[in-house]
Amino acid sequence: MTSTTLRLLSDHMVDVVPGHTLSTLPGWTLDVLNVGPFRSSPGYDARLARTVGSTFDWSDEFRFDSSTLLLETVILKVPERNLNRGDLAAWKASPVIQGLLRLRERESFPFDETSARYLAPDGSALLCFYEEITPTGQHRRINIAPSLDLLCVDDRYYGWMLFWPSRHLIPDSRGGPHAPPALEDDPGVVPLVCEYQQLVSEDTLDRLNEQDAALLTALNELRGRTESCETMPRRVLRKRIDAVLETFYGGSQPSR
Amino acid sequence: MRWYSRRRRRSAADSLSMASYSTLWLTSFRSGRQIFSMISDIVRHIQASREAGLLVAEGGELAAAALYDARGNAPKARQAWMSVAQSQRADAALRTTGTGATPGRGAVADRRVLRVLEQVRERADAGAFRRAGNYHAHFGETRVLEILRNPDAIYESSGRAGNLIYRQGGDIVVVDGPGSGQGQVITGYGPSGIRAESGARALGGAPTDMGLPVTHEMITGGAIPVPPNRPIIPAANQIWPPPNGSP
Repeated sequence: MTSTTLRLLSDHMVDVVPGHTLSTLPGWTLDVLNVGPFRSSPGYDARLARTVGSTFDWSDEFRFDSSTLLLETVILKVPERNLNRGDLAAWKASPVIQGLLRLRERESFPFDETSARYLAPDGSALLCFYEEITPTGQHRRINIAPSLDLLCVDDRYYGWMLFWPSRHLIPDSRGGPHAPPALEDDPGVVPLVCEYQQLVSEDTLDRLNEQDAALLTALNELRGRTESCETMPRRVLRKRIDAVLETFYGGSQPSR
Repeated sequence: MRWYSRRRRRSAADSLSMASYSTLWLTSFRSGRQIFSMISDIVRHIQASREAGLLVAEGGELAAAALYDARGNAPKARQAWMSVAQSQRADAALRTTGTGATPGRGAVADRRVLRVLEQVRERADAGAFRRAGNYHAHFGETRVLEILRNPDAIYESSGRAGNLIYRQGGDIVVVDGPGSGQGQVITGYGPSGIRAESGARALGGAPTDMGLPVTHEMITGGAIPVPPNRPIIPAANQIWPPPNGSP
């Protein structure tokens, strides 16, 4: 990275303005990360109208102020392909600057969503990245919001990293808050979230579609373990498991 | 299950038929400069990923085309290429046995996509649909349900997320493709809903004006007038009814 530009997967270029960041706490619903309001929230459409950029309908959503062209809000999809490239330590050790993206022109184009994820077993970070980009080159991070860094390999946008993601868990209920009211620390939920990501992934999708009984049992057992104490992260995880069970097993959980 | 039953009977010219794929591939690149750019991108993808290189070595031109369309995402490209390859094999088998009436009818549908279609249909028949947390539709939920129940056509976006687009008349509903949130409705717009502020910005007129129709050509050409600012969006392939059949 040249410190002022970033090349996207689509080869579009955006500028990086050092020294600025978004102040909104990221909210993680397990499948999506919001830095800014849910699209279902009142006032979203007006915000959409006064900004430019990509929309969540077709890609990750990066919205930029139509006057300053500076980044305002972000909605990122979390891919469901698990992949550990063993480079988390290198990313954590890489240089970081605070900065905001800025469009070069008043134009809109898709920001391709990432294709693979890795959640550190200790819960310290969630990496989402483009599997097709080989991360050889200079690693740098752009801290765009609390706990959220964009990852760069040389001048290329490689993905993003959320620190201590389980503290950012929020329900994806419409009308609900898009950011956690406080960063609730529940170390016990980390292995549960890791297990969820192993049970519900691209690798298990066919088994889920086939209503695999062993997966159903595992999901129900995991759900039971979220009930040992009541914290926001555990409630979010439990609700997400319920949604998965409803989607793939029709809401009937005989072993529950 | 009316439309879905017909889809299963026709299961052929479906999600990624040879015909639609080749057409997209050949008509998308007209100038020498574009072709050069395309080849450069493919080479870059191959250099960046061993899996991409193996895919192209195995599948040749079609695999390279799939890799390009998937913007270097080798697993997605492999899935697309395998659908095409299966289609070719099935076509050849049909021609050999003389049982196939129409070229392209032998394609094997993506079973993950089919499962999403089934789930959406089952929910819609029960009078329900799932909303994504980031649901943002320009018309009411009753209209969303009508479209999901009786679409004129269904399309699969060629974008990385593989969203599915249900169209009835000039209205569309976009749902999540295969994955843990499959079938969740993300958005909907068209003449049955107001433009709202974002639509008025994109299309002109007032926020209270009705939206403009979204046509088959817009969807398959990647030219849906997406509010607000009309960004370039991925083209989509019609997966139901089969492109060779009638709606």
